[in-house]
Amino acid sequence: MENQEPNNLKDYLEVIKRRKGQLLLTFGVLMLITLLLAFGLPSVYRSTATILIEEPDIPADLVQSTITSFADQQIQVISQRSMTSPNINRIIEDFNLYPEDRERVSQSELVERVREDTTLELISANVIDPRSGRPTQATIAFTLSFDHRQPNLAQRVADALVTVYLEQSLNTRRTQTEQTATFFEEEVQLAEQRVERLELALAKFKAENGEVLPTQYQLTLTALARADAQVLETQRNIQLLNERRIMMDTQIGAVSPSAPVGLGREQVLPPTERLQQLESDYASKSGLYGQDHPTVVRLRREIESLRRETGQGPDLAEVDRKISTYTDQLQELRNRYSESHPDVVNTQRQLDALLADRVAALARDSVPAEVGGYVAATDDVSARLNVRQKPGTSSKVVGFLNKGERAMLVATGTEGWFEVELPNGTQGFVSQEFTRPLKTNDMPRTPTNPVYIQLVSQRNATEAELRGQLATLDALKEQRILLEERIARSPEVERQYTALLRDLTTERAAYSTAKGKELLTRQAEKVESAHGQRFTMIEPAVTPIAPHWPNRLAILFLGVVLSLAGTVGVGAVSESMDAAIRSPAAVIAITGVTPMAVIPYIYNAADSSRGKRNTALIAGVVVAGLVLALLAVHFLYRPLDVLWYAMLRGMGA
Amino acid sequence: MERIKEALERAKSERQSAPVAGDGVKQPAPVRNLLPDVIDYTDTHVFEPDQDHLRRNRVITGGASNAGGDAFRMLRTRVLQAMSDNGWNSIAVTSPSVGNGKSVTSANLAISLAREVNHTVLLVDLDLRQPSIHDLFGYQPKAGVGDHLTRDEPIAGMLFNPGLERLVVLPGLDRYDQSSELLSSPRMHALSEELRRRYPERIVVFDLPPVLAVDDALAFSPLVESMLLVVEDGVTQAQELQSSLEMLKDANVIGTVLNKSHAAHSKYYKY
Repeated sequence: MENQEPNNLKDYLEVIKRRKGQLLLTFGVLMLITLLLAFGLPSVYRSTATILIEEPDIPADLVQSTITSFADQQIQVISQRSMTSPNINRIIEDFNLYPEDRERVSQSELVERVREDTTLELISANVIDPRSGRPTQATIAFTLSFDHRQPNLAQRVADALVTVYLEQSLNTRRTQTEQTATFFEEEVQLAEQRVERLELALAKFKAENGEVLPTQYQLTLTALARADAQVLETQRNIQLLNERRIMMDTQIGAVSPSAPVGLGREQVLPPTERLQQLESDYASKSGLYGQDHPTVVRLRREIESLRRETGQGPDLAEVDRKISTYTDQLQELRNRYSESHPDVVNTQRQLDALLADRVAALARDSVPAEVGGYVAATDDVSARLNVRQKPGTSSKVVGFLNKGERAMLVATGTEGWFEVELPNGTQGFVSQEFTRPLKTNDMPRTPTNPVYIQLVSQRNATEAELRGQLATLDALKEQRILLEERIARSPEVERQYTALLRDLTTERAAYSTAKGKELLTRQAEKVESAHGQRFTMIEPAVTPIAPHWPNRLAILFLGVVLSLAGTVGVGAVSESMDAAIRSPAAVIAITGVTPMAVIPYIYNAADSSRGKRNTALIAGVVVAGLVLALLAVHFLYRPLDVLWYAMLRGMGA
Repeated sequence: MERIKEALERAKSERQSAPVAGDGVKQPAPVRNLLPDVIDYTDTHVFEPDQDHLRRNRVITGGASNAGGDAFRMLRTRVLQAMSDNGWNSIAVTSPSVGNGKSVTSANLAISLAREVNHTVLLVDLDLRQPSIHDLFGYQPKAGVGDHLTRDEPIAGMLFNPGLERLVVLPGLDRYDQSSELLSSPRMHALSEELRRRYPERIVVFDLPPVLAVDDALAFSPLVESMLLVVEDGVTQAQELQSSLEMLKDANVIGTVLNKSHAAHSKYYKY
């Protein structure tokens, strides 16, 4: 069913006239709500403080602050830290906020209400970033506001909030810087400890492997070459000395220790010497003259008296040697001559005498081995007797007991061996088989033959030199082994050494980095405490004079607009829903026929008087509304006279 | 005001000459002797209505040219044309719903028809639910058409002439809940036949209850030759008009009247 749409002004006026009651009612109700809202809502006052974010005094290029987060981010962090329930609860307690709701509403809801009433607004400016040179938005300040119905309370709470924010800001930055500093301090300490540990390890390694260190390698090689040469030389020396000693031993064997005594020449000699001389004489003369010869008898008597005097018997060794000499001689003579040859007889006699002497000497010399007594080498020993370190022939030779020398007996406990002390102080063991104990005053006969003595001393020198050379050789060999060992160990040591050095270098680098950062942090801390970015209140919260909310004028204006729109809407909706017939055309549309007549509304007296009444009422309402509006402007927005002058000024200008 | 005075004076003169005029119309023999000699102007109560009262009730009696009068003259002419074309002499006025102004319209139509000197007009208030015609004229009858239908009260005593020539009104008085039964009763059938056929030059105008509110109009429609549907401007919904037409599709609805038109008013009405 098609409805007749209004399509010209007249039709609209028609519609308005038709629906004026409904429209007026709608408008009236909406305006009533508007007025209730505009004048009924309680005033809320807002107190606002402005806080400036001050850039650090010292440029960031010079000393980088450790706090690099953006200002607005920081503000948010501080806001979160400040608007905690305990803080807000304290503020609620301090200022006795919302006393009427304290009993009814839970504490957390009150806290939430304070949060809602608190407004934080960032103030940004377009600036050029000094680091990147690009234009950017920087937060330079922020405002902190608190809304409350009582202006002075709003101001006081805003003030308290600002105080909390500033404190939190200070704390946050300080904590942040301190944490950074502490962190680097610990880093430095750790790095220091690591370096120290490595240095100690390196020192210890160096001490342990001092000669094997890579720096010593060349030296070791040289030393080894030198040792090799020395070994060769020493070996050659030893060979020479050995040869010489053998030669000398041969010579010594050929020379008698006793010097031949000249018969024709009388010498005043000490009894011992004299005895030796006489014995020598006696041996030759008894052979020459026979036992009964007066000269021989004289000699024998003299010898006996001297022996009594000195206590010395004939030297057993001497006797033995002579016996062997005479035995050899006798053998030779017997091969050459018959038994009855005078030489043979003579020699036989001397041998007999010597044998007798020997028996006597043996009897005399058989003394017990006593500690503290002396022993000497027997005649079986060719030139010298080995003195060994320990009992046994495999033991090391520590010295020699020369023929004719004596050694002091130190101990006798060992089977087959004497422990003796040589005249030069060397202690060692000698075989009992090749020694014989001496009587206390039975000194071996001192060699008297100068040639023999010289030879012996020369041989002893050679001997000593040889020993020295042998020792040198041993030492050199040991040194060589040591050097070779070092060379063998060198690569491994070098590897470990390099590893240690490398670790140390790394740790030192780490240490210096950490140290540098710590220094920077310390600087930054100072900067932060004195000159860092900080919040400064540039505009304290003041007691607001005009309410912040609600904007009654805006509500009024908006309400009027919305009421009009609502009225139009209601009219339009009801008009569109209303399918009433309003014109002959509508009747034609349905019936297909023009109505037989269109009868106008017939007015009567009641109609016209009601019309007049309505007109008067509308006029009255309009006038009252105008007066109300003017009053509202006068008292709520601005006094009318002020507005009037402002308007005049605006027109005049 | 002068016009009103004129109208009053004319009405006075008409009242004095009414019996003469009434006598001038001679009725033919009735078809059924249901109401022998009932319609007699000597018995008909002549009543001079208060003009203010009429005006208050929007009953147009003045012959002067005004928007309402013009509109009704237009309606009268067209109705008469339709009737003469078909040889009808009865018309029922109804509307989709209550308050559309059908009673006022039927009264004004009857008055307008009566002004045409060729006819006498009988206005019958068949809105037994809410009889209002007599109130429009400010007349208090002793009995109404309902009394005739229920108790066979003689019609003659009920008729009244509201001070207009050639117009007789048969008022309703009491309200009846079973009005549709009454309207479709044999007595009603007889009455309607009697009223239509008694006098050939008479036009009978029936005022019926709303079509959509009760079934009276539907029940009565077979007894009447033509029907007129009153549509109220700005109130009657298109849907209502359509439903009404559908319900009355078997009756001879000769047309509609757009009533209380503000548009028409603004064009012509200069009171």
